[in-house]
Amino acid sequence: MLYPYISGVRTLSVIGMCKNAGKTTVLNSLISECEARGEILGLTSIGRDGERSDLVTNTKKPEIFVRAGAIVATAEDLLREGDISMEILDSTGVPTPMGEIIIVRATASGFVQIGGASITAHQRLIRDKLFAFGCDRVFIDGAISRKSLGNPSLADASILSSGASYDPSVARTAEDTAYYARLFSLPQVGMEPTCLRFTAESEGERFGSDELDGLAKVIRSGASKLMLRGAVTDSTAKALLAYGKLLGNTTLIAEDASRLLLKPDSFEKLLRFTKGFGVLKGTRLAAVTVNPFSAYGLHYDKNEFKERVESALQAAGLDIPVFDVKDA
Amino acid sequence: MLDNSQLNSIGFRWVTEHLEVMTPYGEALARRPRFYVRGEEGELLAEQRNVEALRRAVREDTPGVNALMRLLMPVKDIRRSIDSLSLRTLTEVELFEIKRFLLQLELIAPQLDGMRLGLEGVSVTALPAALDLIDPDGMRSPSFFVSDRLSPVLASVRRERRLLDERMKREGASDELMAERTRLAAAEDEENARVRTELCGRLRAYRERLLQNADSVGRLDLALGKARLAEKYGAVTPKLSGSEFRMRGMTNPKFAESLEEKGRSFVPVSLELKRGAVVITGANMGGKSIAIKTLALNACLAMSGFAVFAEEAELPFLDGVSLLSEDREDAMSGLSSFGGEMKAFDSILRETETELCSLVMLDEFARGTNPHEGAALVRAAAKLFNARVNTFAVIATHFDGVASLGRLHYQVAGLRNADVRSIRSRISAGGPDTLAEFMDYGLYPVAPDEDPPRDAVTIIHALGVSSEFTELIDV
Repeated sequence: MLYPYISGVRTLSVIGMCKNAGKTTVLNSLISECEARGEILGLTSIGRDGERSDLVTNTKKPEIFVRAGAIVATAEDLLREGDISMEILDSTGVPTPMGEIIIVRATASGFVQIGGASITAHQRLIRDKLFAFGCDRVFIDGAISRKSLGNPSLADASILSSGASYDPSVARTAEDTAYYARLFSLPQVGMEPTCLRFTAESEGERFGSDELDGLAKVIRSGASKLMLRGAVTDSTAKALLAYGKLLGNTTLIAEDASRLLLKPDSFEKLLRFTKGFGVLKGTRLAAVTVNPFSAYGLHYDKNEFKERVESALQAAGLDIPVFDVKDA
Repeated sequence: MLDNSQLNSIGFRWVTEHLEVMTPYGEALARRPRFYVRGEEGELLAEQRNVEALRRAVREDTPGVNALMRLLMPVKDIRRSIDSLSLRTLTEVELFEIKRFLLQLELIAPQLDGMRLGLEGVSVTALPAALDLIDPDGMRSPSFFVSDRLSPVLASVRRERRLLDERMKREGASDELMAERTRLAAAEDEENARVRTELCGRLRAYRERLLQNADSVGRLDLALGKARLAEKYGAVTPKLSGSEFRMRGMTNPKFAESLEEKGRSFVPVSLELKRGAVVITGANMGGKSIAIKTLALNACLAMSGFAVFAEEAELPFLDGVSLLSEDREDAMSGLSSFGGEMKAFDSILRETETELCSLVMLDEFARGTNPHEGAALVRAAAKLFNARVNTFAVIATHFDGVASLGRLHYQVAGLRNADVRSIRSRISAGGPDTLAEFMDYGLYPVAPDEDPPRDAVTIIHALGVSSEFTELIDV
């Protein structure tokens, strides 16, 4: 079902908004559609810092199923969780809390568990290695967390998986789904030499007075584009919003969507006070999937959920197809 | 020997950080430098010859050296896997790493042999029989899987899996077929583990040879790094003689680098040492400490099998190199700086007492006390070392009346030949940092009774300190 939406997409990331969003179902469905067409698939994941214990204590069987020929990059400790038979192709030297990332080729079908690197440069290296080993297409297993948006810029296109496990309120889940969809659909803008740069604070830290002085100078100069380097967080937004109307003609630019670690209302406010948001490296959101079943028991009504997400996307001006995971 | 913070302050760490090594084995050796000890003189000489031979190759056989470096680059650290061979069954990933290492040896060994370097203590040998165990099909491909050849059971369960996969592709993955798949996967896993246990049992015979090769690759890598560094900086192999200690035109690349950033250049230091005390006197800011640290650096490099940064170097085999300077006291806590210095001096005296040959350097010894007693302490130290035939001591001081006790006396020229008025006008234009432009950092042998230069007053005048004060100075 989803296959037509990913034609021409060499690297696809499937990004879950929460656990049990149905990401694995989506991946498995895509994998089997691509394999049935004789594609050589590469699979990797982006890191899950701080989730080591989750992954290690997770006694559930790994659920991603691949056939002979697929090439999988995963952390060494996770290799033995799977049951493919395999040929070891490369040890990449890329470290993770679960061991080095190893690249293997499945020589018989089986389940695999995928854990990946958390540094973008490493993720890119792994993706490139997968292509170098002859993959026709690479799937990246990603997840949205407090600290990461799942790095959609690594891929040519993404699929966002939303589900009832995200929040008890279907309205809230639909709204946030549309919010992430907006982030993943931000227009790609070019960097002009005249564009002023401003380095946003490193994760979790507040602005120092030097940075604020620098920011004030940049904004007073009436820059039409303001490049925000690094993570753009709620405190970045707060610092920017202090300049209120001065920002009216300024387009804010982030490196890519994964740098925007903003609460939806901060994002809204920034949009209202500025000329808009863009990213240097854009990505395309190919589809949204919804899973009305919650791991916590509070299931949504299947049709209501899908319709709410569809209308939230429309309200945000996005024309993106929505699928129930069961139909994926 | 010097501690880590001293090795850092004399520029030794700078040198090891600028060593370019290709492998994790070389990296480990570079990080923890080896100082050859008494009884290892032969090994130190062998290391010198290895570095020399590789240096010649760097000059005369660039393609060979480049090829060797390319072959060293992919080498990974597999010592843990080799060690584990005698303890447990290795995983497929570990066997993959061992196979890669064996494949690399097959390439490095003939390359190294072909270069005819005659390296001592470095023997990289291919182990084709071990490779045959891991790769019984003889494919020599860079990937690894447990070969069907190693077990008919494995071959048959894999065949079943392949057939099942094909059937699932045709008929779809019914629960029944999936259950059969799981059963076969478990059976393969079990047999795979058994075969690996057997394989590891056979590989165990190569454990020592694998470790020895890893060791040799590391030594080769380190010596090549030393050779390339020596070529780059024009360093020389020090002559390890019995008793002469002559260092001509020494430099210190760490200090030279930071001077170059300021648009200045390092003035080479030449020193001849005698058993007993040699005294260096000279102005404040005149470079005595730099001279001492440069000597310390090159002595340590020599004892670690490096070429030294000098035009010519000859020194005896040193059991110990000790340096007492401000850096060392800073590291000691709980005592005043004077108390700390004296405790440190005491431990140097004890350490070096029984050594056959040591280098001891005292930089502004007893600076923390009054000049009268300070000078007396330095004189006592000079006398002590003069009575010790096993010690080459270098004492840098600006106290009077010490130099005459030295076997030799060197002086930093400082501002001796500079004109105060031109310094002053330059300083008022360019700030106190410009004083350095007038300093003569050269170290010159002078007569034993030559007093330390009176640069303090010159400097005060040059800095333009209030005449209300300078007029009252009476020296």
